[in-house]
Amino acid sequence: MLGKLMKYDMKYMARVLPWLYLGAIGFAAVLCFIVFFTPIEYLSSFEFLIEMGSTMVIQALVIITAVFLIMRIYRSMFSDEGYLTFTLPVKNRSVIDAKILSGAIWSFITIAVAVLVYIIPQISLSFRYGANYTSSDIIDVPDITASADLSDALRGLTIIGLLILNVVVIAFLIPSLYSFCAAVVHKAKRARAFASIGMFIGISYGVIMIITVAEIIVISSLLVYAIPYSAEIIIQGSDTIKEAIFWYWLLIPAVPLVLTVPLTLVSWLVSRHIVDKKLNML
Amino acid sequence: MALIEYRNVTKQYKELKALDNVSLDIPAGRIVGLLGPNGSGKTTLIKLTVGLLTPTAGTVTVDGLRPGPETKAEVAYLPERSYMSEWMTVNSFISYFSDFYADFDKVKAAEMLARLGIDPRRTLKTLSKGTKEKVQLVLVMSRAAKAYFLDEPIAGVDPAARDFILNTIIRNYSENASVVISTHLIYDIENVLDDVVFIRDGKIVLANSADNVREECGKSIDMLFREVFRC
Repeated sequence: MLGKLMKYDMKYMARVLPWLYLGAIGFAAVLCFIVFFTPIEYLSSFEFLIEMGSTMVIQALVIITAVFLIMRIYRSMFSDEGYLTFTLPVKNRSVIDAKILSGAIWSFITIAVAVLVYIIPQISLSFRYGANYTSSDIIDVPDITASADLSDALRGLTIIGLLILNVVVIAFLIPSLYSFCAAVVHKAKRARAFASIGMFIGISYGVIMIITVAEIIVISSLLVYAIPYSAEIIIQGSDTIKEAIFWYWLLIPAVPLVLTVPLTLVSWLVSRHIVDKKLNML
Repeated sequence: MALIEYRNVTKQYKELKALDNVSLDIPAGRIVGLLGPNGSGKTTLIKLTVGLLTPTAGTVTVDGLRPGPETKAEVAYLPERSYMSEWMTVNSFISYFSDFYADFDKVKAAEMLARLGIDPRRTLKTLSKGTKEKVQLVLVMSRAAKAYFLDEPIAGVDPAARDFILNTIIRNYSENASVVISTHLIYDIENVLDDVVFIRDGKIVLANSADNVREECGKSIDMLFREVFRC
């Protein structure tokens, strides 16, 4: 039954989101076209516009996906459509599970498309510039990958794994958190849609703020810790620099997980519990 | 054993007691009129039965089971409002019901829609309010359920539509099933009822067979209702 519930949730989102993805990728393709056909001397003037355009499209993608997810979750559970949803011969918690799983799939696709929209113009820019660089343009920087070994590869994979885990957790967090907000306020009949959206925005903003502060604290601590060793870094060279870079890139994706993983699990479990034990469709 | 049993059921919304210690049996194979004025607790009683509300106290059982996936598979519910997504077509709703309800008869639904002249390829948002109500009734009555709970099915529709709705209910429910019709429009449904339940301020004030009520009181159920619930 979970599969059947998910089928209809996926269908709802499939009416709009694939077209949105096509539009966003089309926009990235247009940016590529501009990059490839703009004379190299004018290209630097376009860089800012390309960056801004990509960012705006990514923001639109994320916001529209979130709005559709919220609409789907709220309407099918706590508007009049809930009278059908919660009289289907399935456990109420399966309804929540289906919403969160299908929401996570769409969120994941959106994030993947957003990454593409950002990367495609950047790659074309680097190709364009790369083709025009001469060996004398390249600054002589120490090659920290020269002494890379197996443990460095594992460390690299750990960082990539953490980054991917962040994306997966965020994909689950958005529908879980909204399901939680909608379930918590569903008994307050008047203006419950606005109340749930307000609660969702409030918690999301709070989460972003806490993560930002935590990142600042961690990075500051790293810097404070690293300062006494700066002389050592200069003396010992690339190995110590490599170590510092590794910890920086490991902690950046690790810190948010400390908050987002428990928040996702708790909001998922609590929303399941509410619809299972305390459902009140007024 | 009754098909649906309510034992000391109370439902409280903050200060308002919507149902107060209700005990009632609904046997199989009967058409029951759940009659009472607006706000008397009819909808609350139905919602508790179909699992949309949880009781504050007491128990509700359908075929011996508390409301859950098993009872929802046996109970067909027509709410007083439209519960259908506007973006879906009538055909996709037929597939939806067929996907979830093992007792749903696709052929019966298609025949009923054809009789009504409703194009199943149309989306819900292109249909009038009355047509949407008919589609919803067709979907519910195309199930071979053990119990049908119809909440105000004839409220707010014209007399011709009322006749259609009542005929659809009578022609299509399974013989051994119970049909519970909640309404305050007694005159229109009096003739189809086997049993009547009067409910006022969350309490059952009368539960008897329609024939007994008429015999004992010497008047129609509609007349009795007007007397009992006179303002």
